[in-house]
Amino acid sequence: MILRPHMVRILLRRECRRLLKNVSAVALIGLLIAISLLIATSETEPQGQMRCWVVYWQEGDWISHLKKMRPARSQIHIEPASSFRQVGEHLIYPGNSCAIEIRPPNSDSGDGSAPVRIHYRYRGKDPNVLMPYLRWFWPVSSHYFGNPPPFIQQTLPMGVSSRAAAFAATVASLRDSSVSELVTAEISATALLFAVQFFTCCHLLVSLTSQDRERGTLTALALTPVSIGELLTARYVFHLSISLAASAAILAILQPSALVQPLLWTVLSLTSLGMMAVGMIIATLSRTQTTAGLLTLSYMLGVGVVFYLSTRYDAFDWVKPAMFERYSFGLTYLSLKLPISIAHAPGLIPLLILVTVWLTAAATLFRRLGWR
Amino acid sequence: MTASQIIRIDRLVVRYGSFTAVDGLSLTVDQGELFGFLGPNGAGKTTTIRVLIGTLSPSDGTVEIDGLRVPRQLDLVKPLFGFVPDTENHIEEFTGRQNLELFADLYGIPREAVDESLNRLELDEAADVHVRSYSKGMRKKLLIARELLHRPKILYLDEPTANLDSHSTELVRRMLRDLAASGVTVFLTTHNMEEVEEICDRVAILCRGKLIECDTPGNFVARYAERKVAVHYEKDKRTCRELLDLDADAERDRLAGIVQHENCIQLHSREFNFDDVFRKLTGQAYT
Repeated sequence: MILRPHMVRILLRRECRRLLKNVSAVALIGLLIAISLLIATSETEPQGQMRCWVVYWQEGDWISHLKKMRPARSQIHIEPASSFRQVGEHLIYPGNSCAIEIRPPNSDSGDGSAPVRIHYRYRGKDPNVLMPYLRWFWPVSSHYFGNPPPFIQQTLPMGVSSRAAAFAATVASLRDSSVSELVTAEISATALLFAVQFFTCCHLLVSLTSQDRERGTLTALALTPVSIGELLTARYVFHLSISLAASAAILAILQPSALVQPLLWTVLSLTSLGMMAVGMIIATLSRTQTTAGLLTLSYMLGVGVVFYLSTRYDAFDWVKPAMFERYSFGLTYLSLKLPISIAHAPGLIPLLILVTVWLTAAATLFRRLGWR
Repeated sequence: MTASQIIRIDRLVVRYGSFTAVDGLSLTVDQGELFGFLGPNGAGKTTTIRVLIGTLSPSDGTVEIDGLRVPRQLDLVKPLFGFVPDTENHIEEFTGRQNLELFADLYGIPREAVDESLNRLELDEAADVHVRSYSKGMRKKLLIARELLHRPKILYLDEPTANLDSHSTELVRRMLRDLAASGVTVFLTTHNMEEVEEICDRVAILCRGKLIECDTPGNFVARYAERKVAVHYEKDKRTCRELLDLDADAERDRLAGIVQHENCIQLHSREFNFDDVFRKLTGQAYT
């Protein structure tokens, strides 16, 4: 298949002009960027006087890594347990502070494979005071452990013995850590990026393509010397460009440091391509714009429902690995949270494979049915 | 395929599931011919055109355009034809001029051709108005203007004069005749029999996917004309009307009897036109 750049350019120009005349689409992209502005301006800072102690019993590479990754000018202090007065199994902390205790493995277990115990300690009644610190602690730890061993985590009010705590101990791997339950700035940014990608690459593509199909414009264009490949390429380039431009705007507002993350851009591009492939398949299989719109909505809801159900029921576990969105969301979040290096590139392989499969299916369907 | 034959359809079959839309259609169209492709609704006209332009693959049979196979060599065939569908497919957000400019760019032809094409269809005054504000007739004319931009060798038209006023209809008919005279093959479908009789060099009548006949409109009329006389006469203080076939002996005698013995009020021969031929042929096909 030979792509003639001038043909693609002509079609791109047409798409741009068409988008500029589509006020609602432009307004929605603007709205998503405005939401990121609101998040950026209203993000809560950790409470002024609150301090968080990260206390360890044993020195090690992990602790060194935590110290290295400690945010500058933060209220996080990493200290050995010996720095604090100890009463029984309790450490005595200064007022208005909370703690993340990295306790050695339980000696009762005997073999050396026992998990490290992580205790979260907080004052008062609200364990959520720990959240800003966990937002730093878990991703940094996750970054350190490639294949993390299980931890025993407990969240306890200060002054209460862990043995007497009503909370049952939770065995969890880092992957399923409590971070996923927190609404963090990174999660907001990830969700916004996902929304932008869904809107620009799936919804908008479906809307414009099915409109073209319903009107017969796509057939009219396909009957000119333009090849089907050029038609498809122009569409993909156009929607990918809007998606990346809007994503860049959101990142510039919420997390400018992420703008120079090549891996993040790779993930965003692959996600956009995957969503465009899904969108193109929807547009190809729908006879009318209304059907296409409903199918797009079903796709979005379907992904959300499967995500949710797979966290609750094992039966859905087999679906998740086949969904590129699962890898996209996780990788986008991680790239926003941590300085990801090229060593994490293998994590892209399943995403790349799934997106390639979707793109191939979309191109085949479009070539056979989509333009007619 | 002879040198002058630009369209050759050979035993074309198109099936939609168990329904056969086109059933063994074979015909050829010469270069510069103004060819009418007629048939009642659902006869398979649009399906045949869709095969000719390559948007539908035949179930069986072959289609050649200027010696090139469709849809196998569609990329080579596409620049040879223009297609005016029965429903307009403009880019609604653009003006008439912008629509034509886009297609001119895709065909790689200079922008001057756009103005020329707009003038030809008398759309120059509305060129910078958004297409969504166009009337149905203007939209149709813009479609024709668009498909003439690249000076195609073949022009397929599906109901080209539907929704056009009498002035525009005449304009389009004249233009089609000029195009055919300049060597462009015009392949049109229409339900307007007057138009067929007026402009078509040759006509194919299709019914239920099968070709009934293909000939010039004049030959059709000559072959199928019925010599009939309508007679009005007074009998028992009542006015009676009878339509009598002059080719039937009994009816001819009946006419003579009426003229001789009754009080004949009115007597006139009934003109047999192409519309009658069409209805007769397609009616026979249905019965």
